[in-house]
Amino acid sequence: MFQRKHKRAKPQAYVIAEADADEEARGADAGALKVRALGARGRIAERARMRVMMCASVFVFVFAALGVRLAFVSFGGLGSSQTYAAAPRAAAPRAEIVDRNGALLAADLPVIALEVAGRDVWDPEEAARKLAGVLPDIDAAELQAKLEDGRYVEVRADLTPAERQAVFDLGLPGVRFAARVKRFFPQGDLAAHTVGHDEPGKGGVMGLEKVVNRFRGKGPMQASLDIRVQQILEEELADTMEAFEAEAAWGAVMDVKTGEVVALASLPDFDPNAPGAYPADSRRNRATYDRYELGSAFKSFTAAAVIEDGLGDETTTYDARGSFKVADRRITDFHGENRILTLSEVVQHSSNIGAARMALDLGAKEQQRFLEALGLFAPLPIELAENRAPELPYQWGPVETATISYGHGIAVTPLHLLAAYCAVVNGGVYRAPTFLAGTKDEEGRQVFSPETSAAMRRILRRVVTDGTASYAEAPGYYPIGKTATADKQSASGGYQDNARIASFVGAVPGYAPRYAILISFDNPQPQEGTYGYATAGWNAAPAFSRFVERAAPLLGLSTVNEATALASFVSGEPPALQRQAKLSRKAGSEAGRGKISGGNISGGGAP
Amino acid sequence: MKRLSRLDESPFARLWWSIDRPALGILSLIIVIGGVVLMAAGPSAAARMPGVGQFQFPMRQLIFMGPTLLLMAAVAFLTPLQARRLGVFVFIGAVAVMIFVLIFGGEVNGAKRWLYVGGMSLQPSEFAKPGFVIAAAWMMAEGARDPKFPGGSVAMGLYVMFSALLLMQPDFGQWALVTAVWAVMFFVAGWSWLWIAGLGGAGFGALAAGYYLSDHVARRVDGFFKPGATETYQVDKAIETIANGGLIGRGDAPPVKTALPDAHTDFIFAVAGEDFGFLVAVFIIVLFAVFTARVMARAAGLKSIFAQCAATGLAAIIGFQAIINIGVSLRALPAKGMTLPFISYGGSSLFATGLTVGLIFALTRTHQGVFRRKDIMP
Repeated sequence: MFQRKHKRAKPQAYVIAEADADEEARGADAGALKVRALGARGRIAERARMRVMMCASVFVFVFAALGVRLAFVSFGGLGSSQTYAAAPRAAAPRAEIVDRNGALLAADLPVIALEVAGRDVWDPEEAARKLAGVLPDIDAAELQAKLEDGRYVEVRADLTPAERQAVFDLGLPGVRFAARVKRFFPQGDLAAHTVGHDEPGKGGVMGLEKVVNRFRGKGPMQASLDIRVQQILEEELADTMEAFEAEAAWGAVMDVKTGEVVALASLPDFDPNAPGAYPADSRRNRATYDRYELGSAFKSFTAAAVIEDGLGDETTTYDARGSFKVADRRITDFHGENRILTLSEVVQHSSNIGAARMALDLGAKEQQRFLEALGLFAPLPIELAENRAPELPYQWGPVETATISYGHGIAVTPLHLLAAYCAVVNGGVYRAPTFLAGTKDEEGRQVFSPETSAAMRRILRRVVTDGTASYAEAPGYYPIGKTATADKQSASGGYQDNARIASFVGAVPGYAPRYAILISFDNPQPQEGTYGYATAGWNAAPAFSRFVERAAPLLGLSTVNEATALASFVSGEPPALQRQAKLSRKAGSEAGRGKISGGNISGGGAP
Repeated sequence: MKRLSRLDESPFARLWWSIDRPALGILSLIIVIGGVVLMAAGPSAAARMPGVGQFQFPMRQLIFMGPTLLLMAAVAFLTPLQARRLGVFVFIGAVAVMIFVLIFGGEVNGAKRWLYVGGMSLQPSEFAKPGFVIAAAWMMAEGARDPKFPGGSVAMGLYVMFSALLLMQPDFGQWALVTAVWAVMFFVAGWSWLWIAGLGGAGFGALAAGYYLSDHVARRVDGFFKPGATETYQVDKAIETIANGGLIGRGDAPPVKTALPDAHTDFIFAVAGEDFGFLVAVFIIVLFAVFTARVMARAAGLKSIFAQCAATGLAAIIGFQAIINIGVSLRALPAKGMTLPFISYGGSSLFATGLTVGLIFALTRTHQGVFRRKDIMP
């Protein structure tokens, strides 16, 4: 173009163009010439050269920035990492959870997810229609709209093999099958609160599921639960809850020697395979998370403390006539024996006045020392995250000492109560509850002497034979225990009128307890046949009895005759023939069962 | 093989001694690495598609590579004048085909951009790009050389026409690329900073309009600035894939690439990052950076505004395509379908890239006394 058709251009341009051709050869002189000779076209060429080099620099800079970005991505330093950091964690295999006998409670289950990539689909209408034909639960119109947008859709999280084959046979483009892992709970709603559940992407969010992520043991994580006992507990709770129109129910079974929780139920419950389908209220573990004023069960602690401190024995008398005024508070009895009672009778007939008098003999300091030793001042160190500290009074004066003696003015979780109760009946050793099997004979804390504990077993046996809990009797197992009917706290802080929590906390076999059992109903209603009563003796105690009769064989308990039981109650030693009983059970013999009548322990009860 | 002598007067020897050999070396490395990466990406991409053989993608790419190299060599033989003629003809032809496809073509994924010839799909806009660069560079150079010739306006007209065709398909990715390339050429041709600022503002306005007027663009942009607000599955997977590779590749670790859509085309860079690691991935970036810079440095020393402009524009096509493709894989840019030159699978884009590079070599050859100036310099 330098030779042709540019007569309009200025002549300098030719000079520069020719000069440039041999620029290198001419060296520095050429530069001088160039500067002199630069015309319009020369300036343009020079500017273009500079600008091209500027462009090249910018490109190199941008590529360098990409290199830095690549380093961040390659070495995982990218801030927005949650999308891919969460995935491997969820995919990591988690240990199975089994019960104490090896029954599966939770396990990883491989499933196949169905995904459709909208941009690979040829005909969204056809794809959506055919998929809906095979999987009737999906919404064809909605799927079609998403596919038309070219979106990547997860159609189903888990396909059965048959469904997978059916979708495969459609031969649709853009369809993908992704291998996933789903957490499966074969027991459904059984022990749901203890096992817990998980959420996609988060892993376990509740119960043992939450801690199984941290579980590093070999093989499955073995829970202390016995799913058979759990089943019986839930059935009995549900039956009575329905019969008495209660709002809720909870219960627990604890091994008094080890602290292992063998069963723990909270009703209403939920299915951990579909936790979202249940209200949050059903997913709350009332037995370990809710705090209640659990009432008269605390009289056992008061009586045990008085005996332990040598302030009284089974025959010490307390005036339970009329009412008892402590500061500005007038304490009355519900059952109203209205006479002088022995210590044993105070517990048997659940006298508030008697318990208050005992506690004032004891004093606030000693009362607090015992309650703290029974683990009632701190959250339980259990494996479940669903646990709470007890609610203690703001000040602890004579009124509080008196009311706490019969379980009002202090709110604890039901499991708190059961663990403390174990120490009363098992020879005086407190052990924190645990949900993992294999923590046998763990070192406990001696709170009461074995003698105190033996005395309490006799007293608590009389509660069943000559007291408020006659319906708790389970022939041959000589259960011991205490009813507790507490006024229900209202949300505003006071007590609700005519609303109560009815509980029975007991242990079997009474003469040498192996298991402690708590059964509670939230606001049961009086029924025909209970003579207008809705107290614990009418609902929690019978439920306890039925539970013991059904569960005792599974718990390895056998019935013994009355003489054996009596001897053991009196001596405080476990019967020598416990081994023998085991043998006879193996042989299928039901020796001694027919002879058992009541197992009454006379003496100590007379005023 | 006989060593080529500088005195050898055969056409091949003449080409060898006049061509930009460092750029050719870099290009060869890119092609070899591209083949290896496609061998890694092809089977996992094929596994996601029904009826595609395991090594179908790398095999077909290998078959396309022969004609592509021939085309490249043939174009590189051309003198700048011949290259300019070829470019202009290609541009006119490609634009005609684009108009034809727009009127008569079938719609795929909501866009009309493919022409089907004998079972093969061709994307005419791929070929129109280098043609457009040549045609626009010619007009700009004429405008710069002769103040009375309205070269700038004609170049602007070509850009507006090409843009309109791309936006009617619609293909915002190609349009953004063409606009960026055109801006680079406009800058090189020496237009004043005032003009540049004005056009920059107009371009930004066009992007904003695209965001508010087109759901498609809005979704892509939203997906970039607010990850999680819209579907960002592909890019999330690409990031995950690259992260799985670490410094020297994933080794025996389970691959993530199998879950990556378009692993053989738009997201092939992620596969390179996973299977061969950071070092190879960064080497690919370095190769494209050096290639682009080398061609531009050579273009800077050229004797005519046209050649400077055209070579820079063609190098910008390669550079921008690499930047956009890699940037999307690294979530540094909004998701936009763009092939990685010579590495992504695709016959159409491979031929077009071969044409682009062939034109680059033709324009940047040294012609020391071999031709009469009027034959070589437009």
